[in-house]
Amino acid sequence: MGSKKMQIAVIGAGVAGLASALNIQTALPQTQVTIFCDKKDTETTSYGAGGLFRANEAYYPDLDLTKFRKYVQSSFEFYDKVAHSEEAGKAGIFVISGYELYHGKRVEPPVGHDYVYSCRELSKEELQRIPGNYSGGYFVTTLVMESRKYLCWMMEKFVKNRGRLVERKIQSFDELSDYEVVVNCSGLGSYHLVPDPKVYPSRGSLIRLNAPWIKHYYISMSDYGYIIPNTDMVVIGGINQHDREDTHFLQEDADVIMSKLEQYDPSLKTAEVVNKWVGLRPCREGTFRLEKDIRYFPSGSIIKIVHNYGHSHIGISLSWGSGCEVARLVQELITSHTSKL
Amino acid sequence: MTKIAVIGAGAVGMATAVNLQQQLHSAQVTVIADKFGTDTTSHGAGGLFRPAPDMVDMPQDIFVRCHRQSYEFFSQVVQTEEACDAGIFRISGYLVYRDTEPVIPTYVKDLVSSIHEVSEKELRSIPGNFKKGFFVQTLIMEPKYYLPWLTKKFLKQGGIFLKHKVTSFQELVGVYDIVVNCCGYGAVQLCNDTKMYPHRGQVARVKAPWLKQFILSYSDYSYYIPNSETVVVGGISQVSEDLQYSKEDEASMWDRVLKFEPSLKNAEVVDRWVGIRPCRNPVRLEKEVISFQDGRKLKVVHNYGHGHSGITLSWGTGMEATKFVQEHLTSSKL
Repeated sequence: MGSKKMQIAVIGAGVAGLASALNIQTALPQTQVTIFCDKKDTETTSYGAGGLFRANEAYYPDLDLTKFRKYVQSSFEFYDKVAHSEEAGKAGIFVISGYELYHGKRVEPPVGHDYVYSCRELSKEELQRIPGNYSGGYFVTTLVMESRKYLCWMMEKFVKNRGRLVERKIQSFDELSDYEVVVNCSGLGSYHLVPDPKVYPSRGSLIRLNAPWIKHYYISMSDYGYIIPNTDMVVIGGINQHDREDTHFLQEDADVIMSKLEQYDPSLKTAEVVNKWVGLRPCREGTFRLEKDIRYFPSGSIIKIVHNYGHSHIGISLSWGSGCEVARLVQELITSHTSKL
Repeated sequence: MTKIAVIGAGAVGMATAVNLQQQLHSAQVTVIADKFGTDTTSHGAGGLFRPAPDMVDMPQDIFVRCHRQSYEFFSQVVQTEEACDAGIFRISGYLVYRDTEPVIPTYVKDLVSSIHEVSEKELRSIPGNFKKGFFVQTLIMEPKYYLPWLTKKFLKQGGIFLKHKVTSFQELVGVYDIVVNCCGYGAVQLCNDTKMYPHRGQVARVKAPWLKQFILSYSDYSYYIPNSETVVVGGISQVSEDLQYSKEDEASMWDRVLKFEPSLKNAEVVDRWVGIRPCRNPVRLEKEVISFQDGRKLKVVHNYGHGHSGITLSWGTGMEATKFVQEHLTSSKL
């Protein structure tokens, strides 16, 4: 084949797509990676997310826990390295602590908390000092990967590593028959593209505030309200509406969010609202899809695919680890091809 | 109406003045100072609430009482809408050491929200090869906001400011019934106090809003403390009165801090500041009646020499000073 590089296509420029592309570039330097996307940067679902590292297995009833732990651990190890490097500020990856609280019956911490810096159960005295009458909770030290910065930082690296970006919506995998492997990180787009009827949106609204005195995060494990400090702004949210696809921010969203948070932190009411955002989480029934696939088309094309979509609420958290796994699967597909020759 | 003068408009003077107003409704309080607001020693401090028994000399029971009173007050403000006006907010962070000996006594742990020893795994995540660490949940009283907030309260409650450098207590006899002396390092001259010593600090303020927690490297006194919009980076503690900024000191500070926080390398410096911590062995918190040659007397309460913990102790010692004033008022006439 001469010195021509092996061509890999990645569909999607959200966290999954970018993390996959970067991992392929590093693990497989003999390849040329091209990202195809119809949305990038501010238009992606990833962009608006709060970015808290919180790998909660509860979103995936059909999860393979062993593999999940592997992805979670490799994700955290990577973010940890960046957080303690010169690049932390640029990448938007930083250490943060916070409170995760619940009402009523005891809630266990998510599996992902086995990998964070620390997860400590709060004492009765500590709980008493927290407004809101919580029956239990945890004080956790973990990381934030602030999406908007993280995406930008990854894109810069991708381009620096000679990655190509093509802004084009892919309607069928068959369009990419010239590529050795296609990596599908199309998120909600997989509903039509694959097609995968298990994919569904979960609407989330959030507000960004100017509240620089808030240095801790907060998660209500009972009603999903949350406060997540980002670099320059504080993200507040608490909306999780299955099967809704409208992306307009509504006054009722703001009312619901504030009602979940104002008792816990009255200072939120005094903070200036900077912007409001709605995103549709790319959920998938059962579990996210991270596996190899081969598709045959009437044109005669045989397309080798690695799927990496349907991460629901924890796309940012899992992005790096799933990207690592993608590179490994791409390697397997390439190797199995060459061994046939 | 009782006329009370407070000398000094730093954190201690202002907190004392506000306490006096709140406890003594019939008093007219005047704050007399040569420096206000951003010119005070308090202004440049990081504002971290950190009980430091090794750096602040006070009998243990008084140490505990003053810290506890301060922390209870700040904790109560933090839960209200006033928190951001007051510059008082919760913060967590690490105290790290290069040897394995340090132990934090239980009575100190009880003075903040919590202190836990850090696991090895967590300690290893901080670059710099530290041997032991504690994770602390505490508060910050950011002087940039805390001082103006106290000032606003003071004025609202009828307080008066007087810009004047008091050179002798004699000036105030017959004008004020009681004087509360919160003059900080000024006590060297005003009180001929030979127990005072200056601990020079030099800091840089940077824009590094991704840093949400503090790290204090105890052995070499290097630290960074996030405030609202800026992060204070420091690492100088020399016995010296020199208010001149030193490039060498700054270079040494960065050298040490960048080892445990490499991300600060790219942070923009927005301010540099030098301050003299007014240290005294022990902190002076007591009543006195000063007699003058002409036979006149002046009731005084001293509240100065807090060194590294002026912001931390401001409210608690302000309460103590107020109690001493009340004792002066109820004591038999001179």
